[in-house]
Amino acid sequence: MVDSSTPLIADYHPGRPFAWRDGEPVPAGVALADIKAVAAALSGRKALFNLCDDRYLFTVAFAAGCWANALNLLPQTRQPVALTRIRERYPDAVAIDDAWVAARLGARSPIADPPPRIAAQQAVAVVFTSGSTGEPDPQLKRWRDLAIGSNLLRQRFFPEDRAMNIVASVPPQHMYGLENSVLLALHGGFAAASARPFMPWQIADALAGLPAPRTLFTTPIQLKACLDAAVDLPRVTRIISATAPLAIEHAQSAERRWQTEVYEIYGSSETGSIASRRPAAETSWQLYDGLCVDPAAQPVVRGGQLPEPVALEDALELIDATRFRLIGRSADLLKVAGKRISLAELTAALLAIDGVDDAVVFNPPEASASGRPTALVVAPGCSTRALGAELARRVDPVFVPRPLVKVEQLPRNEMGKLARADVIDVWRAARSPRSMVRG
Amino acid sequence: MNEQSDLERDVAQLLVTSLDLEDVTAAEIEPTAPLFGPEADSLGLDSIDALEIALAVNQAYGIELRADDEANSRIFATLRSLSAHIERERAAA
Repeated sequence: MVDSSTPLIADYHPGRPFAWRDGEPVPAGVALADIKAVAAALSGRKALFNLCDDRYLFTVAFAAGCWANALNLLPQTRQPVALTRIRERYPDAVAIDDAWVAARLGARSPIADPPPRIAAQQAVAVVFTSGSTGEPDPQLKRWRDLAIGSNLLRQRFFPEDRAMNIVASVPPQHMYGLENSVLLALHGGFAAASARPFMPWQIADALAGLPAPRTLFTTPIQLKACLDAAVDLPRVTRIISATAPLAIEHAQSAERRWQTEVYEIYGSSETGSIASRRPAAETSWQLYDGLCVDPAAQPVVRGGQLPEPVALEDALELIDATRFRLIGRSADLLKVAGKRISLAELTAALLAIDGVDDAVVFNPPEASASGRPTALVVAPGCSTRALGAELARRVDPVFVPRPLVKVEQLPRNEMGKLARADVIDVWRAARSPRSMVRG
Repeated sequence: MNEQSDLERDVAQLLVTSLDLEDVTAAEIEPTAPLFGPEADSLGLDSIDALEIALAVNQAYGIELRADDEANSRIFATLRSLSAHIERERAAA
């Protein structure tokens, strides 16, 4: 299905828009000159930490890494502890940010050569799932895996579109951001805005700065913020959401307000995106072409971009080999702002802090919109503020339990185990104003 | 502790209310302490909080806060910088 090598930029024409910066298109020929110049600067390196925030500079560095055969390391978090752990494994890696790449760009004019070909089997990137207490879990991506995944994504959402201008509100270091704003430019012939808009009005400005046709890749939290802020968006062909479940009402409201179609993607760092649905119209998920799920106690997805079958962490109800309903997320798994960690890992991280005698992290009885966990902690000498701050050095701040509730002891039974009901009781009691333990 | 100005007091209350902060009161937010980041005196806010603060500020003051550039991290650095930015934007409006 895939040749032994494919061009770094598919369907290359020097003049087609490859990206948008400050409202101006960057022609593919200029981008290729930039990539070549940065690849030369990376020559001899085995790996790079691609920490660029600017999506164009990220893409240039990413492609330059592919060209120079230097592995792109894509940490999802900037937590010092996680970065140090990754650095220990790749001592040769050079850390690259916007300023580093901007200082090494080419001579703003197209080069004559066609794009180089990249070997299908070449390892080009490592996506790290959430840096936690232990080792960040590295997911190695080969050029072929990314090329197939990106083609399937394009087939699903853009079968007829010869061009598409993309705004993405997620970081390119995240698998979802990488697929929709970087790989669609390299493999799909589309052009993404360099901006990484975060607030609703920034998303609106970024879309307004591009000509039609436009697609917005975003997250449920940001889509809801756009609805709450009642921003005006220019005509958007599609809005696509991923990283957490999108409420059906929000999908419907967004379709009505902006006269568009809202889709949701299902996937993970391990698999990339593998299925989609339009929540306003359907409850079931349709796998991308060429992928299928094996019916088993733990469902396994195979085919497509996956070099080998991958077990899915969620509970699925299979309708047929290519359609399923999501029954639920694994109970131990937390997903906040598109990042994952298990409650067990988070509890271990809290217990590893000096002064913490006992702790348990759990989902509160009424889930908050952000999906944040909460915690009981026994740490007589520490303030909750200091504990939260220390934990935020070790795990992504979005996982820091809120509130962190200090108690004198946890309701462990004689076996030392904790029952959820007992934990919730103690948590509720500790939060009643009368008995609040202040840190 | 640095004394909070009137506006800082209002913005502090907005932070506590919009973020459901339980372990700190508006009066306890030090105007010059970092809102984000791992420092010991930081309020320990994160990107989701930034989004919620921006929506609340937008609703209360009609100002559109921006994120992800250097100017912005200065705006969001402390209660004082955030309040000063709101004041400047209101004056300019």
